[in-house]
Amino acid sequence: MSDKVMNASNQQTDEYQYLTFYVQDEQFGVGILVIKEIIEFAIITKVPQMNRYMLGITNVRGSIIPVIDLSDRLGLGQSDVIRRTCVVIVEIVEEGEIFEIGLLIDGVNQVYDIYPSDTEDAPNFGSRIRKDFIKFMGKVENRFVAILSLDRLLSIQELSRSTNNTNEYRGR
Amino acid sequence: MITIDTESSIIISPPEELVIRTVEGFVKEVQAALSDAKSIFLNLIGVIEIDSAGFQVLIAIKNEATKRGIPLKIIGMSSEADEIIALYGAQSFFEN
Amino acid sequence: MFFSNDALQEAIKEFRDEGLDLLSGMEEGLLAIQEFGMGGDRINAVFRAAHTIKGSAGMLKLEHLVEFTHIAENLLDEIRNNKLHINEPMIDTFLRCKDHMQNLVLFYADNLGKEPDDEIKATSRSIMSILKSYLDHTVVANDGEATLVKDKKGWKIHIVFNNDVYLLGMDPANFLRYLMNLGEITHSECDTNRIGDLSNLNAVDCFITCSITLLTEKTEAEILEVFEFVRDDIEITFTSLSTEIQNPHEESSSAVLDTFVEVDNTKELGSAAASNNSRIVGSSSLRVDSDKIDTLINLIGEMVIANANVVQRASIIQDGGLNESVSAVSRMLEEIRESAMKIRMVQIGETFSKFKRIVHDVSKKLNKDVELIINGGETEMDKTIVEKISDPLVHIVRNAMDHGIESIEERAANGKNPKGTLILNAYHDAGTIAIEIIDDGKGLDEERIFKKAVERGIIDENSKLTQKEIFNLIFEAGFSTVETITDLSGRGVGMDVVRRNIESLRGNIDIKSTKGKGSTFTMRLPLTLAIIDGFLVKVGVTHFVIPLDMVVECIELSTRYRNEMHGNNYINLRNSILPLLKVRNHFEEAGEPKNLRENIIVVRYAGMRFGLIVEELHGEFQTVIKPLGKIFREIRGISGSTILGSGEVALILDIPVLMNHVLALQAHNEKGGADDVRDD
Repeated sequence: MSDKVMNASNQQTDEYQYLTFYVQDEQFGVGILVIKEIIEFAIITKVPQMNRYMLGITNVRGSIIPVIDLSDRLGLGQSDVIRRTCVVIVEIVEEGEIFEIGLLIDGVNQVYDIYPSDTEDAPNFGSRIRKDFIKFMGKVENRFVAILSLDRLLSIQELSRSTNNTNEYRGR
Repeated sequence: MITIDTESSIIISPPEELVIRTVEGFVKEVQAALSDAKSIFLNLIGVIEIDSAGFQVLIAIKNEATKRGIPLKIIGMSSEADEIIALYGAQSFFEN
Repeated sequence: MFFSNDALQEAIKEFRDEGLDLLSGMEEGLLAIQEFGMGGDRINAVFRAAHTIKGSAGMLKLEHLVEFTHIAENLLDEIRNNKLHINEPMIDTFLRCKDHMQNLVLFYADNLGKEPDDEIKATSRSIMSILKSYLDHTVVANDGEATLVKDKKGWKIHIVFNNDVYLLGMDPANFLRYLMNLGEITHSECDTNRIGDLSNLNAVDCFITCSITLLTEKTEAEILEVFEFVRDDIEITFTSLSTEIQNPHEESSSAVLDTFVEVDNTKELGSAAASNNSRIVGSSSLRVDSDKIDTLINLIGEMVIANANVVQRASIIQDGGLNESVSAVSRMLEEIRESAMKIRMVQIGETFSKFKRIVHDVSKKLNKDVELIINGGETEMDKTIVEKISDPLVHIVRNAMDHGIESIEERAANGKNPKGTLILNAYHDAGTIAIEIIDDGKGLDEERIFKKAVERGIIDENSKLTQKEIFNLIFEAGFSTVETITDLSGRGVGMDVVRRNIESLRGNIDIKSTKGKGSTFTMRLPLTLAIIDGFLVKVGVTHFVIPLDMVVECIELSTRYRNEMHGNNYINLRNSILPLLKVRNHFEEAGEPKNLRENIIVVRYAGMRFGLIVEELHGEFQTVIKPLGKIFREIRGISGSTILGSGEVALILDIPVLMNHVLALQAHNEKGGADDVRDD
């Protein structure tokens, strides 16, 4: 019983915890509840006919996980693999199914508690990235960090868009 | 084969041939497994050969359950088991 | 009730599976009676299905199902005893009855502990009233029967078998079964007290004591003969019941009817063991939750991957003993994998026989006469695939009956046999399963399809298409719309969905058709979904796997071939044209090839061949297929991925799709070229 109570209270604080990381020298954050694990940069197999930011698929202990170049997806240009490059694997629910997707980033910073009182809406202009990719701006150490909206960022609808001319292949 | 389903109930699945040759071993197995069962499920789906010796073991299991005051339910029935139970008019015996 | 909720759920689930099996047997039996008449064990099989379902339903206290099935069972029983002649409308009623029982079974399975609502009960009542109207006819017939019974005598026989009966090699049950030959056993009872409880049971001693009511024309002496050679080992007492039975008219006629029903139940059960071997085979199989098998197969898949890693590391160490052990483990793993895959394999026949009913119903509805021929029902394939192709198959069959096979009049007018033929055919072919749906109807109308596709905006009216391309238009989304939606086909699902379903299984579908003569739809499907033998190649930095079954040969792309190549499009291979696809260009692999050596992998699929130009050859590789997931759903030409021994991921080439692509290019480059590459 006490376990359950503890879990419940953990969950409450977890809800306001965010992992921040670097992409092209800029800091971004995502809620830690969606993060499954963080792995070192591994060999990624490119999958043809996909958008450039879709780097391909990688093997995480026997599971095939797609990996996107977060920088490229955010419109900040392609990433270079550097020493601190790693992949944050997030779990999202879309179209009624759980998906795991890896986000290639330039290095993990740290976890912050950000309570609703310390947030602001995404700015209407002035940001380098699409407004709908930002959930809100969170205040940490007197700076604002963009907390990403994964629903939009990782929309299956958008990610799955292939670059081929599908009809060409249709049993003609 | 006998599986302990939860802490309290056991599922008894007799061998495919529940006949005079096999009944002794089967009875021993059931006796050992019954110890503190709170309910018994008798799964006869896999019984493809059964004679009167096999039949009387089934009756004895039911009697044992009644003696101990624990419920017994048949959860699977093969046509062969069904036939002999009907032959002896014992369908209703297992139903209460 | 002592059933815990979980146990009840489990029991109902079991009941549902068993019930659905029985019901499909019942349907099969009914259709067989319709086709071949009453003979053999058919009516008994139908009766038994109803009887067993009623019994199990009673055990689970599914009251409405018991009530409903009871009537059907009674009527079947009358038919079984030749008290009533079965006819066409009756079979139709029984088929409706079977459908309704199926609905009820599913209802109880989905609504634990609930009884059906009034709407369902209303359906039950309407079917029951039809069944009852048939039954009423038999009561009249029964009166005549009842007078006959007057000559029979009732005997109450009490038999105590001594303890050593088993040891003498006798089974009391056999005596009771033999008594059934002398007359009808209307009641039997066993003294359960004598058997006692399990803790005190000496299982090899006989404790059988039973009482039987036998209705027979035989005399006491004749009955006693049965027990002639056990006379010393039993105590037997006879009581005559003649006065009770001899005046049946004093009882209500329904009571008499009940007596007969009960009699025959017992009798039928007696003969069941002797006459029905197929049930025995069914009973010896084990019903296992398919999740458990999936888990097992997944684990084996993981193990194959892990083992590939071991093999690779061992090959680096180059220790003879180690290599030997590793290859021994690999061999065994291969065997384990094969046996595990076999667990999932089921015969397609069961799915095929579903179509007897569909053809029966649809031909009635359309007023067409169609004979269904089933071939290759014993062909085995993965259960998941069988389940997933069921709907597409239904759709194609309905389509064939709806649009393919003509009406009786039209066929006669065209000098065809008024009875149309529909063939379902399954067979193994080069690592795939082929399923053909063949009809001898009017065939596809190229002109009409073309016109319609233009109307629907699928193609431009100036398009130059081959016959095959025109046929394939019916699989395009938006092709089958209002015009073709009848009660039967196209209920919201078009042929595009059919093709999509088949392709999602890494299969494909092909049409051949001759105007006026008929059409053949051929589905090709992989044998299994989980693991295949693959051939590993590399292009640039990417590994690709080609299903080994489809690989014919590997040829080095020599200077000679290179000179003969026609812009990467084809070469002449032993005097036939081999269309080519350069994987590097096709998948826009980055960078330049490491060296200029290239190889051609000749692959064969659905009777055609083409060559894939690749760079490095890595040989055979056991491939655990990992689906790519929804994100990659729009990709064409790659059917999945797999993990190599190094941990890297390889992509599995979708040969059917690539083949279509190559043939399309070929056809457009040189008119009719596609036909030249057929190799059989």
